[in-house]
Amino acid sequence: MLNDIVIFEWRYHTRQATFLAAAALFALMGGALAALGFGADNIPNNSPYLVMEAFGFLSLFALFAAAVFAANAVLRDDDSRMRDIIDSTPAPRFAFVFGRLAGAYVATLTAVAFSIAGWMTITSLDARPSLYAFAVITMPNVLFCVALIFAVAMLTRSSIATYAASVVVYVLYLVASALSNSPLMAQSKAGGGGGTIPSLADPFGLTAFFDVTRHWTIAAKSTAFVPLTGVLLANRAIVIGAAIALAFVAWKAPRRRRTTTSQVVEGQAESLSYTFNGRVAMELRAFFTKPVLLLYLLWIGLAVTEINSDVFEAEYGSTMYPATGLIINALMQPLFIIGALLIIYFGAEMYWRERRTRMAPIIDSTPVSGAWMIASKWIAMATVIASIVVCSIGIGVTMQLARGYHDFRPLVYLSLFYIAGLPLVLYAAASLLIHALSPNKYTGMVLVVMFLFLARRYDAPPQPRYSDLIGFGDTLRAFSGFILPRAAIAMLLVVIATTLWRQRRKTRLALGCAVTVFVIGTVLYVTRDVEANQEPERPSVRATEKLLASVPYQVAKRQHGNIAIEIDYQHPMNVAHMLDVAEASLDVLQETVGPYPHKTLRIVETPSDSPYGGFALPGIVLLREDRSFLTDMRDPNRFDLIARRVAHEVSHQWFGHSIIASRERGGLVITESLAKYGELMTLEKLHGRDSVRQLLEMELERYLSGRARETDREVPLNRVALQPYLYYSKGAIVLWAARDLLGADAMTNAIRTIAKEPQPTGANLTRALHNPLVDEWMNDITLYDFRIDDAHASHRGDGRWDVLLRVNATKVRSDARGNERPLPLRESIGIAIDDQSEKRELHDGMNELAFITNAKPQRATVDPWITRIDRNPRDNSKAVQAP
Amino acid sequence: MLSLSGLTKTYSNGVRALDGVDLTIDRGLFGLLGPNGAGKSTLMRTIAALQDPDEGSIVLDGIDVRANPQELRKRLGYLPQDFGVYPGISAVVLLDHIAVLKGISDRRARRREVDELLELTNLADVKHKAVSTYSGGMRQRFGIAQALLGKPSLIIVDEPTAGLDPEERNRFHNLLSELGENAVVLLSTHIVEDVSELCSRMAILSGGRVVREGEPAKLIAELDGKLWRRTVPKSALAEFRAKYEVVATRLFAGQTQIRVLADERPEHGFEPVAPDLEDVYFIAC
Repeated sequence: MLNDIVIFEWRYHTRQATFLAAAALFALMGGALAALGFGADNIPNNSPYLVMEAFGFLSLFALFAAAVFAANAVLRDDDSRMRDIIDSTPAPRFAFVFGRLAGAYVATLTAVAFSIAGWMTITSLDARPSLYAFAVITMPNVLFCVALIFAVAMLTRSSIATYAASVVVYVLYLVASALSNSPLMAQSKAGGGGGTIPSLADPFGLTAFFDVTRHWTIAAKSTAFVPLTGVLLANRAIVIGAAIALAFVAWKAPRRRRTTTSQVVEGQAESLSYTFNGRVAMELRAFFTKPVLLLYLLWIGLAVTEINSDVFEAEYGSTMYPATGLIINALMQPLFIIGALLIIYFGAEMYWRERRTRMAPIIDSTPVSGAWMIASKWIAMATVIASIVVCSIGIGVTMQLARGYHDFRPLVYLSLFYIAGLPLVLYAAASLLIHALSPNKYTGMVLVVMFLFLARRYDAPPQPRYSDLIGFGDTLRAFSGFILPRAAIAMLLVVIATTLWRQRRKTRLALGCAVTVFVIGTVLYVTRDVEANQEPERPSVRATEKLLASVPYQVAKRQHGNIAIEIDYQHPMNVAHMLDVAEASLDVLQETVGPYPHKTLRIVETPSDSPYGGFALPGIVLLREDRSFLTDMRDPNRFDLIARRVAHEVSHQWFGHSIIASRERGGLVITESLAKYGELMTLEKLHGRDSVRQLLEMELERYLSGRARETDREVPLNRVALQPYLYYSKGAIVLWAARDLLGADAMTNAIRTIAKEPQPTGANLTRALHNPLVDEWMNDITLYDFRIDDAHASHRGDGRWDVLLRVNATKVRSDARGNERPLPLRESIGIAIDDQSEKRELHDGMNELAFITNAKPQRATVDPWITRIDRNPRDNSKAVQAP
Repeated sequence: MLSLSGLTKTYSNGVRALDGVDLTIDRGLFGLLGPNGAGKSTLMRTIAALQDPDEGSIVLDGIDVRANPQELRKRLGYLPQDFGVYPGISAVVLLDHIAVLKGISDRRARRREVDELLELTNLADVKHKAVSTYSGGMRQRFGIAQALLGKPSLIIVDEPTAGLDPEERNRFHNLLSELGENAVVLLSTHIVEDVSELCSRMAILSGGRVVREGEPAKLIAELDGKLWRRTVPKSALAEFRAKYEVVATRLFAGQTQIRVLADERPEHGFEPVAPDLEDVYFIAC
C-alpha cells in the first residue's frame, strides 16, 4: 500500500500547475547561477567546492517548494473537502502518513533537481561533484524542510501556522549566518567568523560548509571534495535526525478536525462585511492569529541578532554605540526578507481566502466591488508591513536604551516606513496581480517568489544610508527617484488586478498581462538611471574643507610639543582618548622615523558612507564616524580599535606622504605594512604586549581567510599589488616578527635607511634588514605549522614541576595556488607555559622539550606572541596533563 | 446487522445533537428521516467512526465499533453529505487511489472492481475526465461508486439526493435499490420521497432522538381515518391553528389548504384524506 500511495502522490504533485511553476523557477535559478559565474573566477565552475556551495544556496529556495508540496499533501483533504471519505478508509496511519510524506519529498526533490537542468543549459556539470553535493547537501536539506512543514501541517491543520513554521526555518538560517559572519550575507567583517553552534544550527548546512572550508586555498577549492567530517558531518546528522523526529511527530499527531461546521459558517459570515473598514478589519483579524504572533517574536529575534552582529560585534572585536543611523542600516536587509516572506505566504492566504472558503460566489454576487476587495487586501497587507516596521522601531529604541544611548532621532526611525516599508507595499501590489493571473494559490506563491527574486536581483532600490553628520545626503533623493515611478506602476497593477477579480476570462487575462508588461517596460526604460555607478569622489583637502563648512562640528585642541592637535567632531565620546592616542603615536613614530612633517595634526569625523574606514591626507586624518567615533570603549577589556585607527592614519603621515613609495608591486609594503607597524608600536606603548598579541591574532585570521578567498593568485609580500590581506595582515605579522628577530633598533635603522631611498618598495626594506629569514618571509610565501601533540607534567622532588612537551613543527613554501613544498626548519621559537615564556630552537618534525616551572602548569602554548604565520593556529595551545 | 444503543453526543457549544439513540438495523435499505439539525449527520458520522459519541455503543455484525474502528472501516462504504474531490484528477485514478486506501492491494483486482463500479454508476464514458468537472448528479454517482469499493457490508448514504434534478434523483434511486441485498444500507435524508420510494424500514429522528420507527406502510396506516383536509382563507389560519391540531399547510391553486389530525371530522368543511409519509413526518417532528 505504501508504494501505491507514494506513486499516486508523486503523480498528483507533478500534474499540478504549481509543480511546473516550481520546476521552472528552479531551472531559472540554476541557469542564473551558472550564467552569473557563481563563485570566484579562479575556480572552475565544475569544482566540487563550488558545486556544493551552489547547491546549498539553491536549497534555500527549496523551502518554498517544500512548503507548497508538503502543505498540500496534508491539507489537501481539508481544502478539497474530501476528508471524510479519506478518513473512513481503513488505511493504516503509518502507510498513509509516510506515503504522503515520501510523495511530497520526492516531488520537491524533483522540482529542485530542475536547477541542475537549468545549470547545464549554460555550462557543463560533472556527474561526481553534483551527485555528491546533491546527496550531502540537497537531499538532507529538502528532507528536513518537507518533514518540518508536514509535521506542522499535521499538528495544526492550518495553512497560516504551516507558513509561520517555514519562516522559523528561515530565521534560524539567517540568525546562524549573521552569528557566523557568513560570506553569503551582505558584508563580512574582518577578524571574525565560524563558530560551532551556528554551524550545527543552520538547517541548510551552509554555515557548516563555510566553517569547514574557511582556510581552503585556491588549489583545494578547485579540486577537492569537501569531506563529510567534523562539524559538517555533525550538522548533516542533526538535520537528518531532526527530519526523522519530525516524521515521527507527524505520524503520532492526534487526528485533528480543522473546523466544525458552525465555525466555518461563522467565518463565512465575517466575510460578508460591507463597509470598507469592516473588510480591512476582517482581513487583519484573519491574519493576527496565534501562530502569527509567534512570527513577531521571531522577527524580534532576527532583528536583534542582525543589529547585534552589525553594531555590537563590529570589526576587531570592538563594539559600537547604537546610533540610529547604524540601526536602520542594519535592519534594511532583514526587513526585506521578513517582508518578502509575509508577502509570499500570507499574501497568498489573503488573496485566496474567499475562494478557499468557497465564499466567492456569495461575495461576488453582493454589491461589493472588485476594487474594494483588492484594495482592502492591499491595505491589510500594508498594515501588516507597517506593524513590522513599528516593531523594528521598538526593538531599535530598546537596544539603544539598553546601552544607555539616548540620541534617538525619531524622524530617522520614521523614515523606515518610507525606505523599507514602501518598497514592500509595492511588492505586495505586484503580488496581488500575480495571484489574480494565477490558476491557484500555490502557483501564485511560486510565481511571487520568482518575481521577488528577479525584482531584487535586477531592479533593487538604491539603498539610502543615514549618517549623523550629513543625514541621508543624496541617497534619499536617489531612492525617491527610483520608488516614485514604481509606485505609479504598482497603482496600475492594482487596478488591473481589480478588473480581474470577478472574471478571469482568457481574453481579459491576456490583455491584462500585455498591458502590465508594456507599462512596466516603458516606465522602467524612461526612468532608468543613465549615470551608472558613479565613482565615489576621492578624498581631498578641498572636499574636506567643504565638509567642514557644511557640518556643525565641534572642535577639541591639544598642544603636543610644537605640534597642534585638533579634532573636528560631532560624536564626543571618544575624543579625549583619540587625543591621547594621537600623542602616543606621534611620539613613537618621531622616535622611529623622524620629525613629524607638519605643524598641525587635524582629525576629522566623516560620514558613514565614506568609502574608507580611515584616510590620511597631509596633516589631516579622516576617520569615518562608524569606524571610530561611534566605537563604544566603555568596556576596558575590549580591543582598543581607536588606538589602531588613529595610529594607523598618523603613521601614514610618514609612510605614504613624506615617504612616497613606488607604485610598482611591493610598494604598498612601505605605505601600508609600515603603517601597521606603527599601529603595533603605538599599541605596545599604550597597552603592552598583550594588546599587540590580540591584534596579531586577528590579523593572522584575516590573512588565512583572505588567502582562502583569493580570487586570483597569492603572491609573496614583496610582490603585493592590491591584496589587503597581504599588505595589511601579513605585513603586520612579518614586520613585527622581524622586530622580534632582529630587535627594535635594527628595524628603526632599516626604516630610516629606506626613508632616504627614492620610491622604495618592500624589496628595499628587505635589503636594509639584511637577514635570510626575513628574506624568506618577504620574498616567498612561507608558512609554518606548529602543533602541541603532548603536554605532560610531573612533580619534582623540590616542589617544582617538570614539564615535557612534544611539539610538531613544519615549515613550507607555498606557490600561487596553494601547493606546498616542505622546507627544513631550524629557528628559535617562543614557548609559553602559563605566563612564563622562553625561546627554544625548533627543528622540523617532532621536538621534545623539557621545562621546569615553579607552580603547577596549566597551559602550554607554542609561539604565544605570534611571530610566525601558522597555517593552523588552533592547535598551538594545549592544556598540560598533570597527575 | 447494526445495533445502536444509548448514543449521546453534546457539542462544545452546548448543542445536544444525539440524545439517546437506540436502533436495530437489518440488511436492506433503512431510511433515517428528520429535519435539518435533527442530528442525522452527527449520527451518520458517529456510526462511520469519524467522531466519537459521549456515551453509547455501536455494534456491527458483532464488532464493537468504538473499540475497533479499523474493523468497521474495512467493511464500510461512506457517501458523505456535500463532499469535494481533489482538483484535476480523473475518476478512474481517484477511484483507484481510494481502492488502495481501502486495502485492495492487488492491482488487477482493483482495476476490475473500479471498472465494474464505473459501469454500474454509468460513468464509464467519462472516467478519464476530472471528477472536479462533473455535474452534481455525476459527482453523486462517483460518490456512490467510491462508497461501494471493497464490497462493504455497511453503506452509509448521507443526504444523497439533495441538489439533484428529478431525472438524476430517479437514476440514483435505481442505483440504491439494488444495494440492499447484501449490506445494511443506511439512507439519511430530509426528503420524504427518498424514504417512501426506497426503504422497507425507517426511523424518524428529531431533536437527537428516535421519535417514530417501523415500516413506512404500517406507520402510514396508523393514521388511517385520522387525517382531514380543508381550504381556508389565509386570514383565518391563526384561528384554525388555535382550535385544531394542524399538521401541515399547503398552497393549492393560490389558496391555503390545511391538514388536521383528529379522530373524527373536526367541523363542517373538512373532508377526509388518505395519509402519506409526509404526514407521519410532520406529526412526529
